[in-house]
Amino acid sequence: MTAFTHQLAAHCESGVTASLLTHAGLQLSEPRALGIGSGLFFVQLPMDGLMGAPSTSFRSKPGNIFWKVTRRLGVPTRVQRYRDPRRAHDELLRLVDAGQLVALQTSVYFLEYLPRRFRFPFNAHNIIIYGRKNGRWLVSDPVLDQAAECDDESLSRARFAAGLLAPRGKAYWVERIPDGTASRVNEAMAAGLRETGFTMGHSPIPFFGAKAIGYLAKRCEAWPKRFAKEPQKALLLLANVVRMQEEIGTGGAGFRYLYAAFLQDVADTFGDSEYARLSERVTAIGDTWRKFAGAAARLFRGGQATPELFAPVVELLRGLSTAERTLFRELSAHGRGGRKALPAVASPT
Amino acid sequence: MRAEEVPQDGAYLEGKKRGAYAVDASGRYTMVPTAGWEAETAATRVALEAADAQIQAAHAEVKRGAKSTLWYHLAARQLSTAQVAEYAGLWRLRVWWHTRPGPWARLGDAMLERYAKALRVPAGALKVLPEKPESWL
Repeated sequence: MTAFTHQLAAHCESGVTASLLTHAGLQLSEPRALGIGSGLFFVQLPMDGLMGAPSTSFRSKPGNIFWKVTRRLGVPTRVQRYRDPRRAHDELLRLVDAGQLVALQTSVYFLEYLPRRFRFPFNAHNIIIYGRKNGRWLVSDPVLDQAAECDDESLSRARFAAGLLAPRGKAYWVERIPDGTASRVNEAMAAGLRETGFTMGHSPIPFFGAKAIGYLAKRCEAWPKRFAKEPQKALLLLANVVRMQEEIGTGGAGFRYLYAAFLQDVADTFGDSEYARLSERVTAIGDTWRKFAGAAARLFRGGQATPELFAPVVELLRGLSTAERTLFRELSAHGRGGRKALPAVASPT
Repeated sequence: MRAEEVPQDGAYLEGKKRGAYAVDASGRYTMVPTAGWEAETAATRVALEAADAQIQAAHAEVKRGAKSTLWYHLAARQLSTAQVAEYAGLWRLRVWWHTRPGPWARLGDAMLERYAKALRVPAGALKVLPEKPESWL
Protein backbone atom coordinates (compact mmCIF):
# COMPACT_ATOMS: atom_id res chain seq x y z
CA MET A 1 0.00 0.00 0.00
CA THR A 2 1.25 3.49 -0.80
CA ALA A 3 2.03 6.11 1.81
CA PHE A 4 -0.90 8.25 2.91
CA THR A 5 -0.85 11.95 2.10
CA HIS A 6 -2.97 14.34 4.14
CA GLN A 7 -5.38 16.32 2.02
CA LEU A 8 -7.10 19.52 3.08
CA ALA A 9 -10.85 19.44 2.47
CA ALA A 10 -13.72 21.82 3.05
CA HIS A 11 -15.97 19.41 4.90
CA CYS A 12 -15.04 16.58 7.21
CA GLU A 13 -17.21 13.78 5.89
CA SER A 14 -16.83 14.39 2.17
CA GLY A 15 -13.10 14.91 2.77
CA VAL A 16 -12.79 11.64 4.69
CA THR A 17 -14.77 9.73 2.04
CA ALA A 18 -12.65 11.18 -0.78
CA SER A 19 -9.41 10.43 1.09
CA LEU A 20 -10.38 6.84 1.98
CA LEU A 21 -11.39 5.97 -1.57
CA THR A 22 -8.44 7.75 -3.17
CA HIS A 23 -6.04 5.92 -0.88
CA ALA A 24 -7.72 2.60 -1.65
CA GLY A 25 -7.13 3.19 -5.34
CA LEU A 26 -10.12 5.06 -6.74
CA GLN A 27 -9.30 8.69 -7.49
CA LEU A 28 -12.22 10.71 -6.10
CA SER A 29 -12.37 14.47 -5.51
CA GLU A 30 -14.16 16.04 -2.57
CA PRO A 31 -16.92 17.71 -4.68
CA ARG A 32 -17.59 14.32 -6.26
CA ALA A 33 -17.88 12.67 -2.88
CA LEU A 34 -20.38 15.32 -1.81
CA GLY A 35 -22.34 15.10 -5.05
CA ILE A 36 -22.50 11.30 -5.27
CA GLY A 37 -23.31 11.07 -1.58
CA SER A 38 -26.07 13.71 -1.88
CA GLY A 39 -24.52 15.63 1.00
CA LEU A 40 -26.20 18.93 0.21
CA PHE A 41 -29.45 19.31 2.04
CA PHE A 42 -31.41 21.76 4.16
CA VAL A 43 -33.21 21.07 7.40
CA GLN A 44 -35.11 23.45 9.63
CA LEU A 45 -36.93 21.79 12.50
CA PRO A 46 -39.87 23.43 14.26
CA MET A 47 -38.00 24.20 17.49
CA ASP A 48 -35.18 26.54 18.49
CA GLY A 49 -32.68 23.89 19.42
CA LEU A 50 -32.12 20.19 19.79
CA MET A 51 -30.44 19.20 23.05
CA GLY A 52 -28.29 22.30 22.89
CA ALA A 53 -27.55 22.01 19.16
CA PRO A 54 -29.05 24.32 16.52
CA SER A 55 -32.14 23.02 14.72
CA THR A 56 -30.89 24.23 11.32
CA SER A 57 -28.68 22.09 9.14
CA PHE A 58 -27.17 22.42 5.69
CA ARG A 59 -26.18 18.78 5.47
CA SER A 60 -27.73 15.36 5.38
CA LYS A 61 -27.51 13.02 8.34
CA PRO A 62 -23.92 12.43 9.48
CA GLY A 63 -22.63 9.19 7.99
CA ASN A 64 -24.84 9.44 4.92
CA ILE A 65 -22.19 10.70 2.52
CA PHE A 66 -19.84 7.79 3.11
CA TRP A 67 -22.67 5.29 3.09
CA LYS A 68 -24.25 6.55 -0.13
CA VAL A 69 -20.99 7.01 -2.02
CA THR A 70 -19.79 3.50 -1.28
CA ARG A 71 -23.23 1.97 -1.96
CA ARG A 72 -23.61 3.78 -5.26
CA LEU A 73 -20.13 2.76 -6.35
CA GLY A 74 -20.52 -0.77 -5.03
CA VAL A 75 -17.46 -0.55 -2.81
CA PRO A 76 -17.38 -2.98 0.14
CA THR A 77 -16.92 -1.28 3.49
CA ARG A 78 -17.05 -2.07 7.16
CA VAL A 79 -18.79 0.06 9.76
CA GLN A 80 -18.15 -0.93 13.35
CA ARG A 81 -19.42 0.44 16.62
CA TYR A 82 -18.10 -0.54 20.02
CA ARG A 83 -19.39 -0.72 23.51
CA ASP A 84 -16.07 -1.08 25.24
CA PRO A 85 -13.49 1.71 24.74
CA ARG A 86 -10.72 -0.77 25.56
CA ARG A 87 -11.74 -3.07 22.70
CA ALA A 88 -12.23 -0.13 20.35
CA HIS A 89 -8.66 0.94 21.08
CA ASP A 90 -7.21 -2.56 20.58
CA GLU A 91 -9.05 -3.08 17.30
CA LEU A 92 -7.96 0.28 16.00
CA LEU A 93 -4.38 -0.58 16.89
CA ARG A 94 -4.65 -3.89 15.07
CA LEU A 95 -6.15 -2.29 11.96
CA VAL A 96 -3.66 0.55 11.82
CA ASP A 97 -0.74 -1.89 12.30
CA ALA A 98 -2.05 -3.87 9.35
CA GLY A 99 -1.82 -0.71 7.24
CA GLN A 100 -5.58 -0.07 7.10
CA LEU A 101 -6.78 3.52 6.89
CA VAL A 102 -9.56 3.89 9.46
CA ALA A 103 -12.07 6.74 9.74
CA LEU A 104 -13.65 7.55 13.08
CA GLN A 105 -16.66 9.52 14.19
CA THR A 106 -15.59 11.78 17.04
CA SER A 107 -16.64 14.70 19.18
CA VAL A 108 -14.69 17.89 18.46
CA TYR A 109 -14.96 18.75 22.15
CA PHE A 110 -12.14 16.36 23.08
CA LEU A 111 -9.80 16.83 20.11
CA GLU A 112 -7.08 18.97 21.56
CA TYR A 113 -5.28 19.76 18.32
CA LEU A 114 -8.27 21.82 17.09
CA PRO A 115 -8.48 25.57 17.78
CA ARG A 116 -9.97 26.12 21.23
CA ARG A 117 -13.02 28.12 20.13
CA PHE A 118 -14.23 25.37 17.82
CA ARG A 119 -14.24 22.71 20.50
CA PHE A 120 -17.92 22.88 21.39
CA PRO A 121 -19.82 19.64 22.09
CA PHE A 122 -20.53 18.46 18.54
CA ASN A 123 -20.43 14.70 18.05
CA ALA A 124 -20.31 14.08 14.31
CA HIS A 125 -16.82 15.09 13.28
CA ASN A 126 -15.03 12.64 11.01
CA ILE A 127 -11.28 12.07 11.07
CA ILE A 128 -8.85 9.53 9.63
CA ILE A 129 -6.27 7.63 11.67
CA TYR A 130 -3.38 6.77 9.40
CA GLY A 131 -0.68 5.62 11.79
CA ARG A 132 0.83 5.58 15.21
CA LYS A 133 4.07 7.10 16.43
CA ASN A 134 5.55 7.16 19.95
CA GLY A 135 2.27 6.03 21.47
CA ARG A 136 0.24 8.77 19.79
CA TRP A 137 -2.23 8.49 16.94
CA LEU A 138 -1.43 10.18 13.64
CA VAL A 139 -4.60 11.99 12.68
CA SER A 140 -5.57 13.35 9.29
CA ASP A 141 -8.31 15.85 10.04
CA PRO A 142 -9.61 16.94 6.64
CA VAL A 143 -10.73 20.38 7.80
CA LEU A 144 -7.19 21.39 8.80
CA ASP A 145 -4.34 22.04 6.38
CA GLN A 146 -1.84 20.07 8.50
CA ALA A 147 -1.94 16.49 9.76
CA ALA A 148 -2.15 16.28 13.56
CA GLU A 149 -1.48 13.98 16.50
CA CYS A 150 -3.73 12.87 19.30
CA ASP A 151 -3.15 10.93 22.52
CA ASP A 152 -5.03 7.77 23.53
CA GLU A 153 -7.06 9.35 26.28
CA SER A 154 -8.42 12.27 24.21
CA LEU A 155 -9.25 10.06 21.26
CA SER A 156 -11.02 7.56 23.44
CA ARG A 157 -13.09 10.31 25.06
CA ALA A 158 -13.84 11.78 21.63
CA ARG A 159 -15.02 8.41 20.30
CA PHE A 160 -17.23 7.74 23.29
CA ALA A 161 -18.70 11.20 23.82
CA ALA A 162 -22.27 11.43 25.11
CA GLY A 163 -25.15 13.51 23.81
CA LEU A 164 -26.92 14.03 20.49
CA LEU A 165 -25.54 11.83 17.67
CA ALA A 166 -23.25 10.04 20.10
CA PRO A 167 -20.55 8.27 18.04
CA ARG A 168 -20.52 5.12 20.21
CA GLY A 169 -17.02 4.37 19.00
CA LYS A 170 -17.98 4.33 15.32
CA ALA A 171 -15.14 3.32 13.03
CA TYR A 172 -15.43 2.70 9.31
CA TRP A 173 -13.14 1.80 6.46
CA VAL A 174 -12.99 0.75 2.83
CA GLU A 175 -12.13 -2.92 2.38
CA ARG A 176 -11.09 -2.88 -1.26
CA ILE A 177 -11.99 -1.32 -4.60
CA PRO A 178 -13.54 -3.99 -6.86
CA ASP A 179 -12.57 -4.14 -10.54
CA GLY A 180 -14.66 -1.91 -12.75
CA THR A 181 -15.59 0.55 -10.03
CA ALA A 182 -14.28 3.45 -12.12
CA SER A 183 -16.86 2.66 -14.80
CA ARG A 184 -19.67 3.05 -12.27
CA VAL A 185 -18.74 6.61 -11.32
CA ASN A 186 -20.93 8.29 -13.95
CA GLU A 187 -23.96 6.29 -12.97
CA ALA A 188 -23.32 7.09 -9.30
CA MET A 189 -23.02 10.82 -10.08
CA ALA A 190 -26.39 10.73 -11.88
CA ALA A 191 -27.96 8.96 -8.88
CA GLY A 192 -26.56 11.59 -6.51
CA LEU A 193 -27.92 14.39 -8.71
CA ARG A 194 -31.38 12.82 -8.86
CA GLU A 195 -31.59 12.43 -5.13
CA THR A 196 -30.46 15.98 -4.34
CA GLY A 197 -32.82 17.39 -6.97
CA PHE A 198 -35.72 15.56 -5.39
CA THR A 199 -34.95 16.16 -1.70
CA MET A 200 -34.17 19.83 -2.21
CA GLY A 201 -36.77 20.73 -4.83
CA HIS A 202 -39.66 18.37 -4.21
CA SER A 203 -39.56 17.40 -0.54
CA PRO A 204 -43.14 16.89 0.58
CA ILE A 205 -42.23 17.71 4.18
CA PRO A 206 -41.91 21.44 4.87
CA PHE A 207 -38.98 21.00 7.30
CA PHE A 208 -36.67 19.64 4.61
CA GLY A 209 -35.36 20.94 1.31
CA ALA A 210 -35.46 24.40 -0.24
CA LYS A 211 -38.96 25.02 1.12
CA ALA A 212 -37.54 24.78 4.64
CA ILE A 213 -35.41 27.87 3.91
CA GLY A 214 -38.68 29.79 3.63
CA TYR A 215 -39.75 28.19 6.88
CA LEU A 216 -36.49 29.38 8.47
CA ALA A 217 -37.25 32.90 7.14
CA LYS A 218 -40.62 32.77 8.84
CA ARG A 219 -39.13 31.65 12.16
CA CYS A 220 -36.35 34.20 11.85
CA GLU A 221 -38.90 36.96 11.32
CA ALA A 222 -40.57 36.06 14.61
CA TRP A 223 -37.41 36.04 16.78
CA PRO A 224 -37.10 39.80 17.43
CA LYS A 225 -40.72 39.92 18.55
CA ARG A 226 -40.49 36.77 20.65
CA PHE A 227 -37.32 37.90 22.39
CA ALA A 228 -38.16 41.61 22.55
CA LYS A 229 -36.80 41.75 26.11
CA GLU A 230 -33.61 39.79 25.45
CA PRO A 231 -32.21 40.65 21.99
CA GLN A 232 -29.13 38.52 22.67
CA LYS A 233 -31.30 35.41 22.41
CA ALA A 234 -32.66 36.38 19.00
CA LEU A 235 -29.13 37.14 17.84
CA LEU A 236 -27.86 33.84 19.21
CA LEU A 237 -30.44 31.91 17.18
CA LEU A 238 -29.47 33.81 14.04
CA ALA A 239 -25.78 33.30 14.85
CA ASN A 240 -26.37 29.56 15.05
CA VAL A 241 -27.69 29.57 11.48
CA VAL A 242 -24.58 31.42 10.28
CA ARG A 243 -22.35 29.03 12.24
CA MET A 244 -23.98 26.01 10.62
CA GLN A 245 -23.54 27.71 7.27
CA GLU A 246 -19.89 28.73 7.57
CA GLU A 247 -18.03 27.74 10.67
CA ILE A 248 -18.45 23.99 10.82
CA GLY A 249 -16.55 23.53 7.56
CA THR A 250 -18.74 23.70 4.49
CA GLY A 251 -16.36 25.19 1.91
CA GLY A 252 -18.36 28.41 2.14
CA ALA A 253 -22.07 29.25 1.85
CA GLY A 254 -23.37 26.03 3.39
CA PHE A 255 -21.92 23.62 0.77
CA ARG A 256 -23.26 25.67 -2.16
CA TYR A 257 -19.81 26.39 -3.59
CA LEU A 258 -18.79 22.79 -3.13
CA TYR A 259 -21.92 21.72 -4.97
CA ALA A 260 -21.30 24.23 -7.77
CA ALA A 261 -17.85 22.66 -8.14
CA PHE A 262 -19.53 19.26 -8.43
CA LEU A 263 -21.95 20.51 -11.10
CA GLN A 264 -19.02 21.92 -13.07
CA ASP A 265 -17.40 18.50 -12.88
CA VAL A 266 -20.66 16.86 -14.01
CA ALA A 267 -20.89 19.23 -16.98
CA ASP A 268 -17.40 18.18 -18.12
CA THR A 269 -17.88 14.48 -17.45
CA PHE A 270 -21.28 14.20 -19.10
CA GLY A 271 -20.47 16.78 -21.78
CA ASP A 272 -23.71 18.56 -20.91
CA SER A 273 -23.50 22.36 -20.85
CA GLU A 274 -26.84 22.63 -19.02
CA TYR A 275 -25.04 21.53 -15.84
CA ALA A 276 -22.47 24.29 -16.35
CA ARG A 277 -25.29 26.84 -16.42
CA LEU A 278 -26.83 25.32 -13.29
CA SER A 279 -23.40 25.46 -11.64
CA GLU A 280 -23.16 29.18 -12.29
CA ARG A 281 -26.58 29.68 -10.75
CA VAL A 282 -25.59 27.69 -7.67
CA THR A 283 -22.53 29.96 -7.38
CA ALA A 284 -24.82 33.01 -7.49
CA ILE A 285 -27.03 31.42 -4.80
CA GLY A 286 -23.91 30.78 -2.73
CA ASP A 287 -22.96 34.45 -3.06
CA THR A 288 -26.41 35.36 -1.72
CA TRP A 289 -25.89 33.04 1.26
CA ARG A 290 -22.59 34.85 1.94
CA LYS A 291 -24.44 38.16 1.70
CA PHE A 292 -26.94 36.83 4.23
CA ALA A 293 -24.08 35.90 6.59
CA GLY A 294 -22.52 39.33 6.13
CA ALA A 295 -25.80 41.11 6.87
CA ALA A 296 -26.32 38.91 9.93
CA ALA A 297 -22.79 39.70 11.14
CA ARG A 298 -23.60 43.41 11.04
CA LEU A 299 -26.58 42.69 13.28
CA PHE A 300 -24.35 40.79 15.74
CA ARG A 301 -21.95 43.69 15.98
CA GLY A 302 -24.83 46.12 16.50
CA GLY A 303 -26.18 43.99 19.34
CA GLN A 304 -29.77 45.04 18.58
CA ALA A 305 -32.67 42.88 17.42
CA THR A 306 -35.78 44.62 16.11
CA PRO A 307 -38.18 43.49 13.37
CA GLU A 308 -36.95 46.36 11.18
CA LEU A 309 -33.30 45.32 11.53
CA PHE A 310 -34.13 41.68 10.86
CA ALA A 311 -36.26 42.46 7.79
CA PRO A 312 -33.46 42.55 5.16
CA VAL A 313 -32.01 39.29 6.47
CA VAL A 314 -35.43 37.62 6.34
CA GLU A 315 -35.93 38.94 2.83
CA LEU A 316 -32.64 37.40 1.68
CA LEU A 317 -33.72 34.03 3.09
CA ARG A 318 -37.09 34.24 1.32
CA GLY A 319 -35.37 34.97 -1.97
CA LEU A 320 -32.99 32.06 -1.41
CA SER A 321 -35.86 29.70 -0.76
CA THR A 322 -37.54 30.54 -4.08
CA ALA A 323 -34.29 30.56 -6.05
CA GLU A 324 -33.16 27.18 -4.71
CA ARG A 325 -36.56 25.64 -5.16
CA THR A 326 -36.62 26.64 -8.81
CA LEU A 327 -33.05 25.54 -9.36
CA PHE A 328 -33.29 22.10 -7.77
CA ARG A 329 -36.57 21.41 -9.55
CA GLU A 330 -34.84 22.11 -12.83
CA LEU A 331 -31.90 19.96 -11.78
CA SER A 332 -34.28 17.16 -10.90
CA ALA A 333 -36.17 17.46 -14.21
CA HIS A 334 -32.95 17.58 -16.22
CA GLY A 335 -31.59 14.56 -14.37
CA ARG A 336 -34.77 12.61 -15.19
CA GLY A 337 -34.25 13.10 -18.90
CA GLY A 338 -35.11 16.67 -19.69
CA ARG A 339 -38.78 16.49 -18.87
CA LYS A 340 -40.23 19.90 -18.17
CA ALA A 341 -39.63 21.15 -14.64
CA LEU A 342 -42.70 21.40 -12.47
CA PRO A 343 -43.35 25.10 -11.96
CA ALA A 344 -42.01 26.24 -8.62
CA VAL A 345 -44.63 28.38 -7.00
CA ALA A 346 -43.44 31.07 -4.63
CA SER A 347 -42.89 29.65 -1.17
CA PRO A 348 -46.19 29.76 0.75
CA THR A 349 -44.51 30.83 3.97
CA MET B 1 -16.99 33.58 -4.72
CA ARG B 2 -13.79 34.31 -6.62
CA ALA B 3 -10.46 32.89 -5.43
CA GLU B 4 -8.98 36.33 -4.71
CA GLU B 5 -12.09 37.22 -2.66
CA VAL B 6 -11.68 34.31 -0.21
CA PRO B 7 -11.42 36.04 3.16
CA GLN B 8 -8.23 35.72 5.20
CA ASP B 9 -9.35 37.45 8.37
CA GLY B 10 -7.69 35.21 10.93
CA ALA B 11 -8.90 35.30 14.55
CA TYR B 12 -10.41 32.07 15.91
CA LEU B 13 -8.57 29.60 13.69
CA GLU B 14 -5.35 30.41 15.59
CA GLY B 15 -3.19 30.53 12.47
CA LYS B 16 -4.46 27.23 11.11
CA LYS B 17 -6.19 27.13 7.73
CA ARG B 18 -9.38 25.62 6.43
CA GLY B 19 -10.57 24.85 2.93
CA ALA B 20 -12.94 27.01 0.90
CA TYR B 21 -14.11 26.52 -2.66
CA ALA B 22 -13.91 29.44 -5.11
CA VAL B 23 -13.62 30.06 -8.84
CA ASP B 24 -10.23 30.98 -10.28
CA ALA B 25 -9.54 33.42 -13.14
CA SER B 26 -10.59 30.89 -15.79
CA GLY B 27 -13.93 30.22 -14.08
CA ARG B 28 -12.93 26.79 -12.71
CA TYR B 29 -13.59 25.82 -9.12
CA THR B 30 -10.55 25.24 -6.92
CA MET B 31 -9.86 24.79 -3.26
CA VAL B 32 -8.38 27.85 -1.58
CA PRO B 33 -7.06 27.73 2.00
CA THR B 34 -8.70 30.35 4.19
CA ALA B 35 -7.64 31.78 7.54
CA GLY B 36 -11.23 32.63 8.50
CA TRP B 37 -13.95 35.15 7.73
CA GLU B 38 -14.94 37.99 10.03
CA ALA B 39 -18.67 37.26 9.55
CA GLU B 40 -18.26 33.75 10.91
CA THR B 41 -16.03 35.07 13.69
CA ALA B 42 -18.83 37.48 14.63
CA ALA B 43 -21.32 34.59 14.73
CA THR B 44 -19.00 32.45 16.83
CA ARG B 45 -18.47 35.37 19.16
CA VAL B 46 -22.21 35.63 19.82
CA ALA B 47 -22.24 31.94 20.79
CA LEU B 48 -19.13 32.33 22.97
CA GLU B 49 -20.66 35.34 24.69
CA ALA B 50 -23.75 33.28 25.48
CA ALA B 51 -21.53 30.57 26.97
CA ASP B 52 -19.67 33.20 28.93
CA ALA B 53 -22.87 34.65 30.37
CA GLN B 54 -23.89 31.15 31.44
CA ILE B 55 -20.56 30.57 33.19
CA GLN B 56 -20.78 33.90 34.97
CA ALA B 57 -24.33 33.19 36.12
CA ALA B 58 -23.22 29.80 37.47
CA HIS B 59 -20.26 31.44 39.22
CA ALA B 60 -22.59 33.94 40.89
CA GLU B 61 -24.99 31.21 41.99
CA VAL B 62 -22.20 29.18 43.60
CA LYS B 63 -20.82 32.27 45.30
CA ARG B 64 -24.27 32.97 46.71
CA GLY B 65 -24.31 29.43 48.14
CA ALA B 66 -27.31 28.33 46.08
CA LYS B 67 -25.36 25.68 44.17
CA SER B 68 -22.28 23.52 44.70
CA THR B 69 -18.97 24.14 42.94
CA LEU B 70 -19.82 21.22 40.66
CA TRP B 71 -22.44 23.48 39.06
CA TYR B 72 -19.77 26.00 38.20
CA HIS B 73 -17.39 23.39 36.77
CA LEU B 74 -20.17 21.97 34.61
CA ALA B 75 -20.87 25.42 33.17
CA ALA B 76 -17.18 26.17 32.69
CA ARG B 77 -16.79 22.94 30.66
CA GLN B 78 -20.11 23.61 28.85
CA LEU B 79 -21.42 20.18 29.82
CA SER B 80 -24.94 19.24 30.84
CA THR B 81 -25.74 17.12 33.88
CA ALA B 82 -26.86 14.38 31.49
CA GLN B 83 -23.51 14.26 29.71
CA VAL B 84 -21.51 14.19 32.94
CA ALA B 85 -23.82 11.49 34.29
CA GLU B 86 -22.91 9.33 31.32
CA TYR B 87 -19.18 10.04 31.56
CA ALA B 88 -19.09 9.34 35.30
CA GLY B 89 -21.44 6.37 35.06
CA LEU B 90 -24.01 7.88 37.42
CA TRP B 91 -27.68 8.54 37.32
CA ARG B 92 -28.65 11.96 36.06
CA LEU B 93 -30.65 12.60 39.21
CA ARG B 94 -27.61 11.84 41.32
CA VAL B 95 -25.55 14.43 39.44
CA TRP B 96 -28.33 16.93 39.97
CA TRP B 97 -28.31 16.03 43.68
CA HIS B 98 -24.58 16.77 43.78
CA THR B 99 -25.13 20.24 42.33
CA ARG B 100 -26.62 21.12 45.74
CA PRO B 101 -24.09 22.51 48.22
CA GLY B 102 -24.97 20.20 51.16
CA PRO B 103 -24.69 16.80 49.47
CA TRP B 104 -21.62 17.98 47.52
CA ALA B 105 -19.78 18.96 50.71
CA ARG B 106 -20.35 15.46 52.17
CA LEU B 107 -19.04 13.71 49.03
CA GLY B 108 -16.42 10.97 49.49
CA ASP B 109 -13.05 10.91 47.76
CA ALA B 110 -13.93 8.02 45.47
CA MET B 111 -16.94 9.84 44.04
CA LEU B 112 -14.94 13.03 43.72
CA GLU B 113 -12.35 11.12 41.73
CA ARG B 114 -15.07 9.92 39.35
CA TYR B 115 -16.16 13.48 38.72
CA ALA B 116 -12.56 14.57 38.27
CA LYS B 117 -12.09 11.94 35.56
CA ALA B 118 -15.37 12.77 33.84
CA LEU B 119 -14.71 16.52 33.81
CA ARG B 120 -10.95 16.29 33.32
CA VAL B 121 -10.38 18.62 36.28
CA PRO B 122 -7.98 17.65 39.12
CA ALA B 123 -9.98 16.32 42.08
CA GLY B 124 -8.48 18.98 44.33
CA ALA B 125 -9.75 21.79 42.12
CA LEU B 126 -13.31 20.49 41.96
CA LYS B 127 -14.34 21.66 45.40
CA VAL B 128 -12.84 25.11 44.90
CA LEU B 129 -14.56 28.04 43.21
CA PRO B 130 -12.02 30.06 41.23
CA GLU B 131 -11.74 33.74 42.12
CA LYS B 132 -12.82 34.74 38.62
CA PRO B 133 -15.04 32.75 36.25
CA GLU B 134 -13.29 31.09 33.34
CA SER B 135 -13.84 32.72 29.96
CA TRP B 136 -14.31 31.14 26.55
CA LEU B 137 -13.88 34.43 24.71
